[in-house]
Amino acid sequence: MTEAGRAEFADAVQDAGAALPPDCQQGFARLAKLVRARPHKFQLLILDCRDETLRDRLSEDLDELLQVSGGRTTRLRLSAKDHPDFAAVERALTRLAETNAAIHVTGGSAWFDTPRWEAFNIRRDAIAHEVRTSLLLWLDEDSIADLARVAIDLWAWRTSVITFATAPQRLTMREPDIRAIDDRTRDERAARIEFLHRTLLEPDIPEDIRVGFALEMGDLAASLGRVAEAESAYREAVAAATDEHSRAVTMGRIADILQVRGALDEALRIRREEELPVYERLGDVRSRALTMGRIADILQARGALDEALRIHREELLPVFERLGDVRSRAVTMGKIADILQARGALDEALRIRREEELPVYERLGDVRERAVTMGKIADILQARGALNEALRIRREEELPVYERLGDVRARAVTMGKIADILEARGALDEALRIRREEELPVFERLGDVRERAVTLHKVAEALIAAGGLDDARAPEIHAAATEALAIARRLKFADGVAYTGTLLAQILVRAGRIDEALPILDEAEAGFATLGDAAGLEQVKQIRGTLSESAG
Amino acid sequence: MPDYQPPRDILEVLQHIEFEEALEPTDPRRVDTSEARGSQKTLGRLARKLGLLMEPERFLPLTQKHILFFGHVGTGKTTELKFYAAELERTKYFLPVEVDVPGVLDRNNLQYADLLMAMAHALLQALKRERIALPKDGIEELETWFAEKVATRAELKEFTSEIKAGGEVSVGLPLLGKLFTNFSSAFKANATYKEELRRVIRNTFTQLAVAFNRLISSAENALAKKNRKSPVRVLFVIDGTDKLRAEDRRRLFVEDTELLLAVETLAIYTAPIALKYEDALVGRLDADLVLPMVKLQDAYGVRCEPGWRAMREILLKRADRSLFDGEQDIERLIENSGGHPREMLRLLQLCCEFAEARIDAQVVGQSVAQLASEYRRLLQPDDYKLLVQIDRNPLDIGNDEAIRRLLYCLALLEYNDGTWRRSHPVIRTLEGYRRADAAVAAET
Repeated sequence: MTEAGRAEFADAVQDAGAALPPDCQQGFARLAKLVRARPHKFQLLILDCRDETLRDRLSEDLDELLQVSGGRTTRLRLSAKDHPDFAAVERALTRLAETNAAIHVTGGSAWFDTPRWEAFNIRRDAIAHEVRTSLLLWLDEDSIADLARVAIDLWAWRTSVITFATAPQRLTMREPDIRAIDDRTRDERAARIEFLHRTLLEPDIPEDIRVGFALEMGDLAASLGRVAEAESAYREAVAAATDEHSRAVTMGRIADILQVRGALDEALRIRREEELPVYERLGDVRSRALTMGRIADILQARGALDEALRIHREELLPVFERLGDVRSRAVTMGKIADILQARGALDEALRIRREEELPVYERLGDVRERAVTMGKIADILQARGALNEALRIRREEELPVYERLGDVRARAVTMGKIADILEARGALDEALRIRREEELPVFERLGDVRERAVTLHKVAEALIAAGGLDDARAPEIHAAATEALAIARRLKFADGVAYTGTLLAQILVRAGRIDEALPILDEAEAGFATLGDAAGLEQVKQIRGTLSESAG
Repeated sequence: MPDYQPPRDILEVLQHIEFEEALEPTDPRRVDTSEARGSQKTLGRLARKLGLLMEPERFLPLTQKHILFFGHVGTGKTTELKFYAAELERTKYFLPVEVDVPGVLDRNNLQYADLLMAMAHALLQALKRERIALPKDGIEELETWFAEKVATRAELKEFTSEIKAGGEVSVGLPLLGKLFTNFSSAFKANATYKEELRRVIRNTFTQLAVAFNRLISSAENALAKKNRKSPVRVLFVIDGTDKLRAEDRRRLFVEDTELLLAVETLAIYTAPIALKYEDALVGRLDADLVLPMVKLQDAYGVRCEPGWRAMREILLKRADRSLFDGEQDIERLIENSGGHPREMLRLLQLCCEFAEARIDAQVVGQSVAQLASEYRRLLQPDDYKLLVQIDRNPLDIGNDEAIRRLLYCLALLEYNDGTWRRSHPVIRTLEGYRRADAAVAAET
């Protein structure tokens, strides 16, 4: 390459990298330099990137950069369907290497397991000989750790390891699933509640029947959003419980309610002290697994994603597979997908939703879970900018189901997501209307403080975007952010404290209330540190910098 | 090549770094590291094991000697062996015959039968290069073995017909040449009849070994005539056996030792350092020759200048001095390599990835941190404590599985033929190491 060509390439790399997140620019420059400097040579570039949206962006930028100099690139997505074994991957790589300067290999985090890493390790000589090009292996941290552990010789062959880190997205805790498959309509359920209520008033019902009835009444009330009524029914069931197993099951239902309300410490205590020991003592592996799943939900909501993922993969899935419980397996896969989705592993999350969840719920006729899963698919499409399809799913495949089932909470959450799409399209007034009229009152009535906090945060953001800090809406903004932060503190939600804290601190700074803003900023910083959110920490740093400048 | 100019451009440096590349003795990038490694006597020791006293020159070879040459992966075993082979060839007492295992065999599924055929193939090629013809009695036993044991087997019909295709190569050395070429190809390409070939070789090994020994001695007699020196011995230099899978390595060097020793020849095999400490490696293989690491300091921390000089020379043959901001940057790169040439190349490559035009203190710092983070992915929590304990007591440690794994992955580096060891310097910058260090300090 000539001196001028080198300078031109360096400028092009800088230009392409400038639009990337700051944390990724240097990694991108390293990647571009390696691919460009070593044409027609085998090199194994291990790229650590959980966020698939970011990965796609980096790949596209690199492709454009290489295309300017005539270098062709391609993609190989690993899937069990197309690549039953590593031999199939080797054949594909060999074919693609003939005409491409770089091959992006994606899907590896899910596709590779120990035998497949071993197979790659064994075939590394042949691959290096046949694939005279840059192999860009996009993985996540866990699969890179597996590679280093299982295939140490292949690891030694790496040309470079480049990390593209981004903070995980905010993760919403899924409400506990407190009902089995139940497609009765709202009216049917209301009628059944009435019947159960009347029956339970009779004094001489045997205790074992009373427990069953009270549990059913609680489940039905909970499904209709009548949380207080549900809790009352569960407590009646606990009082009537004749054996430790049914008592543990009923305590679990109370923990579900507490979890929805955000009383996570107490919910966690019940799970660990009043449920788990009983199931372990009785050898009830399924109930134990389900309880571990609930514990994982709480850990997940508090940002302990690795531990939550471990529980789902190692403690739940094997049990359900052994028991042949396809529904619980699908639910667990869904929770794994939730975590992957939060970390940006959208392709794999989408695959799980479509291949491992939807077919199961359709086969079981579980219309509610199908709708929930479609909603998750819409979340991914929304994150990728496919707003029309996401909106269609919300309106046509989710809302009607929740309305028919009388699930007011799910309907409100879905309306909130429709508002997100409308906001993204600039329909701010309609989005704000939905939040104020169709979300907040429902969450308040249900006692769902967490969703209320999230909605209040969004209301404050929407009003600020509409210029509300400069007019009469300023007190409403302040009140909304203050209440949202108070809830996040109470629930010990690190993401809520971090994001809403930063928002409130900015509002206070804008109002000149610096002394009040500073301690909140400290809290937000601690929250971002817990989440490992480098971008958030940087934002806090910038706000502090602005404050120092204005003070100095 | 006196005109050699190291690359003066970052991209050019990056372009030419190849971790797997071994240097020929005449390569201008090769640096004499014998003083730096403390291995001035290694060539002499090797020659002596082969029966050659260098000064005064006297050659008293044993009938057979199979030597393992240990060293860390990437520490320069192949480059050094190429040099040793060239030096030994200059004496005219040896014909080095190189067998590049990764190049000619499937090193991920290798048995002694495969290696034997590759050795025979390499010997015939070397003889061809030397324009040496063998008398009939030197090769007829091999021809007989093929005709009786291979060509008669129905399961190997396809293999046999491939060899016999083309009437012009039906007898003598051309037949054997084709025979061994096809054997090696079948083993490398995992042909369907590979297992059957292995079975035949194993079942008829005694006859085959005798025939192969006759071929070797016939070649050696012919060489003696050509070199006008007696005796002259074939020396097989078998490279790449340090990179075999653990189970294949064990089978070759532990379970099949007797088969190795049935071949009456001189042979040297590369072997990973971790193998040296496996309990099962006992017996008649010569297993004490180690290529030491370049020593930057002694066991007590005293700086060893020859090591620094050699590493500096290696570095500056890969990247021109003008690319470095200052001497301190060069020193820091050397220091963090631990005296391991490939690790220094890895650091240099990282510098080229991070640098815009020149390598300065910040770039070196980033590169060290990056390499450290790559080791962090490899290490288990307990490894840090073990490394700290070794660093605190480098002369007195065991050789259990955990230590062998650390040696294999270069987290632990061995100096002075294994008399002392130290953790890789970049690992000592990791938080996990620091915490383990503090914990061990608190315990003592």
